Amino acid sequence: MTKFEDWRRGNAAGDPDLAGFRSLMTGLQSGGFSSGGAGGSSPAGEPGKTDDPLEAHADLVRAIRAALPEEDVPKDFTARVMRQIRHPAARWREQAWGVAWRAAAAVALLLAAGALLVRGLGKAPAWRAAADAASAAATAEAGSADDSPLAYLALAQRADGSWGDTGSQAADFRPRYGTGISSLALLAVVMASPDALSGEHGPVVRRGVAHLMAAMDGEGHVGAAFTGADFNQYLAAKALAAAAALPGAPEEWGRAAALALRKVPDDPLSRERLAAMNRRLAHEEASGAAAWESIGGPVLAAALQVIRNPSARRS
Amino acid sequence: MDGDRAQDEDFRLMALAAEGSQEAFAALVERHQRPLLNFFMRMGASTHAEDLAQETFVRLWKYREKYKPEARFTTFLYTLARHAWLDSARSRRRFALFTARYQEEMPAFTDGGIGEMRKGLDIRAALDHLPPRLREVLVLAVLQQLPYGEIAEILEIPVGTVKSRVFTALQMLKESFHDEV
Repeated sequence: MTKFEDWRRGNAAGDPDLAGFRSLMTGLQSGGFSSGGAGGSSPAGEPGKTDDPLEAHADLVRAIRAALPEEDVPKDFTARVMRQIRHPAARWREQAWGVAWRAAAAVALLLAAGALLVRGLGKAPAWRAAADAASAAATAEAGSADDSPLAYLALAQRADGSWGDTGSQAADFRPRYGTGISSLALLAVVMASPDALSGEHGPVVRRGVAHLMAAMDGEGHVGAAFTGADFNQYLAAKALAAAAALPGAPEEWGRAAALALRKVPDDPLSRERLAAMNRRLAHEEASGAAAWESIGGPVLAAALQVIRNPSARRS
Repeated sequence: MDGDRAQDEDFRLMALAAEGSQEAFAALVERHQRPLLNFFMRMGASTHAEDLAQETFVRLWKYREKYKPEARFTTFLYTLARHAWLDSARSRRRFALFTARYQEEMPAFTDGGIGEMRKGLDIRAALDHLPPRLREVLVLAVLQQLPYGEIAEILEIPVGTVKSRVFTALQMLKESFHDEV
């Protein structure tokens, strides 16, 4: 009981889930979850007990449902799904792997069809075959990727062009540093591929740039406004400038980079901070790098690995 | 009766979607997005639950013409969702080594132990400790509130196995809570 009481004293004020836990603990303390018996391994074998495990654990089931209520869906969820359906070309996985992917998918489908034949097609309903085929194609798609940091970045990119995977302080820092993390990931992909726009990572770059441009206001500010926003601004400008320098890059990327650059602070203190950031990017200065990198999790680690170590870009 | 009406509406919308109606498909997305998103969150996909839900709907659109109303629509939908979840888990395992290397290089941030203490009492954390086979059946039965028969079809296991897994999962949860107290 000590552990629970300590936790309750320390967290009661700030924890919105406490109501759910109170319900749970009330049930526990009153013995409400004791149905099934101490040694009961099968509810069906107990006299007077139901064979439905949910009924047998009704109090616990209620407590679990109370503690994990349904969460709301973002208002634009349907719109985002429909965008993906209307513009399937925007989905990177349908573009990135080309002929190799299609060959792997064909093999997987043949294997899936073979497996279905072995199991007996007569027994398998049509909806099951369709679901299995969808899974086989997607599995082949996922399995064809390599394990390099660059491939990880391509896989980790979100549908809107951002990179959302974050580190141990994700909950607090993601809203603040999301733009910086996305910018670094984009910068890494651009740096890794001189032919980034025409190569397999072209869609990744285009979506990454589109995300940064969408996050930019009319004056050139990118991302959230807070005390560390100059990092985001600088990294976004740097990534946009690098993307705009790629052969075949649209002119609007250059204009966006110039606009973002205008909002990078240019006072002596900021110049020193940004120079320190550049040194960290190049791994010339280790001090503080671990804490800085922990904000971005595997995405930032992969991006830095690509940026700092050219030999890791494709291996 | 309400369930039957809902199922009929799903069938009707899927039939329209199969003919290419994006409006009907959008209506299906609206009807099922909330339970689907919560399914992924309860399975443990906190940061990429939206991506997985989107992926499931994209697969549903892709295979809309293959769907035949021989099973409940939600059975088909959750089968696709489960495949999307398993594929995602496979992809993540492929990068486990990379992530482990990263974690070795970075010192762990601490919060004075508060997080660990909470973790021990958090139901989500308790779910995390369940074996995947037990967790998925528990989520489908307790939280998504699907009938045993439908779960059996989705997981391709007998109804009796579904019930025994639900029972075992609940017993394990109960014991883990008692251990914490």
